[in-house]
Amino acid sequence: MTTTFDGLRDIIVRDFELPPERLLRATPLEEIELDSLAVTELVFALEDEFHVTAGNVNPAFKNLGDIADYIDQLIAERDAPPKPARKPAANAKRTAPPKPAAASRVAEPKPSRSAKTGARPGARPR
Amino acid sequence: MKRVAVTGLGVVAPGGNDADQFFASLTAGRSSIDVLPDEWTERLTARIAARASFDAGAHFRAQQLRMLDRVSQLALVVAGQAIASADIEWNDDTRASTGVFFGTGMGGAATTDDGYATLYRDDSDRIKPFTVLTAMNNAAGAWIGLEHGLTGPNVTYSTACSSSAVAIGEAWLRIRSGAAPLALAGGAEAPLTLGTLKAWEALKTLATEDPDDPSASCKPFARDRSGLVLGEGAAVVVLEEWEHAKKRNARLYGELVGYGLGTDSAHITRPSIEGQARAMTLALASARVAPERIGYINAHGTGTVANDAVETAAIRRVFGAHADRIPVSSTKSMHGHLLGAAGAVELVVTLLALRSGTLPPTLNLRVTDPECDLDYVPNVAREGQDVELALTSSFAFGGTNAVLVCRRVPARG
Repeated sequence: MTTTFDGLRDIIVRDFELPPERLLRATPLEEIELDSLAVTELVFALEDEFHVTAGNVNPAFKNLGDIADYIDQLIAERDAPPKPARKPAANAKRTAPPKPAAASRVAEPKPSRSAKTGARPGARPR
Repeated sequence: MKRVAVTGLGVVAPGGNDADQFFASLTAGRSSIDVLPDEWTERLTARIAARASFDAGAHFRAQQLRMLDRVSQLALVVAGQAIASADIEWNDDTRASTGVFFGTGMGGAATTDDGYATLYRDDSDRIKPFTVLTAMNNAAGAWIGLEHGLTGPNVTYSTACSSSAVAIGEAWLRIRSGAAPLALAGGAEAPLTLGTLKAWEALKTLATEDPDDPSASCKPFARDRSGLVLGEGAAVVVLEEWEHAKKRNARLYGELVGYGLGTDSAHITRPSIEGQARAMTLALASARVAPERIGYINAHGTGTVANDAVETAAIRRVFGAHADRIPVSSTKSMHGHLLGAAGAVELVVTLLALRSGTLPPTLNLRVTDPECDLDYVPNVAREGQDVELALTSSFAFGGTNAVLVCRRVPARG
């Protein structure tokens, strides 16, 4: 079975032209010269690969394992069942579906618009 | 006041991927304007432009290219050429005293187009992570500084079609004043994207396609001129304080002796005789050169109805009777209008014209216009010309007019 780390390693090999044997969970980012911009680029590619949506700010990653764990966390959040509404009103009809709270809307996986339209992002003739 | 030598140059433009190749193409009277073959250009009224036959893949790895708009790719390659030709021995001191003075009008136009296409056309939120860094106007200049470790000032001028002439002029002022011994100065433009071309088309300034010969669509100073043709390219020169260059026995491509900068402040697009003439007069004054000593003008000569008549009148106003004795050519007839890169590319053309004694022609000048009545070196290059001093003009939307004066010098000062 392909793990998140395998996927991460494949993307680094493809996009950053690094040999796979240098890419271990414990490999520090500075050792393979992945600076903050490279990490931003990597997370962007991982969002596409694993169909997840990262937050606005990346956590402070120390090694490749940290990045794989972060992606796993995003996958778990994406796949988590929607949280029930906190306190249904006492007189709410039981048959009515609960209104999603703002928080649970955020936690729902956001379908990629490009996937919806079938368009390839960035595919632009030059 | 210090003297300023040009000790290195680099160019990639329609017609050539280095200075010699490019100049040979111009003096052969070859136009690099052509019909754009790409499907996306079907939406253009006139599918013509001047492309540089520049293969980014030959210079950069895929990983680098993700961070570089075409404008920065061009800039890095010409800066590399200029630095190699200048043969400077780099150390911490020279790096710290070398600035980058760069010009571009549209910056990372393809990146901007890409971003909007993703967002609006594809209805996707997946804007590329480096969009800001590749589109920003100062990216090209910044990359030159990063690539060569230059820690002097790094500034980008964006005054539309005079951007790189201003950049070179401002670098010249700095060296002339003694503030620094070395500078890389120039500009780049890569505007051949659908968004940019459509925007220019909407302004009604682009040439219509010549039905018989699309490569002849840009006709500066001709009565049948219909507008400008956009092109892409870049040029960088190494400017060096004269004694600094002599001390290391540097090869000299010429001397930059004057710079005139002024603004029309009359209309956002319409050129003014007064404004253009003033920039030329200021340039001559800064060079301490009498108008009668100028032996060649590389004109702005866009091929628009408005510019070419106004520029002719401005030249007459500055040079009086001598205007009839000055060969004036617009090489935009062959390489198109490189917007922010035009001033730098045309300075290189002017320097090489002085050195070689061959004045490149104004192509496609068959039907004369009574309002354009100078000697435009029509259609065929003029060889064996002993010219010492020349002037090159760049006039811009927004009204910022920049004129550079250069002098032929022996190759070793």
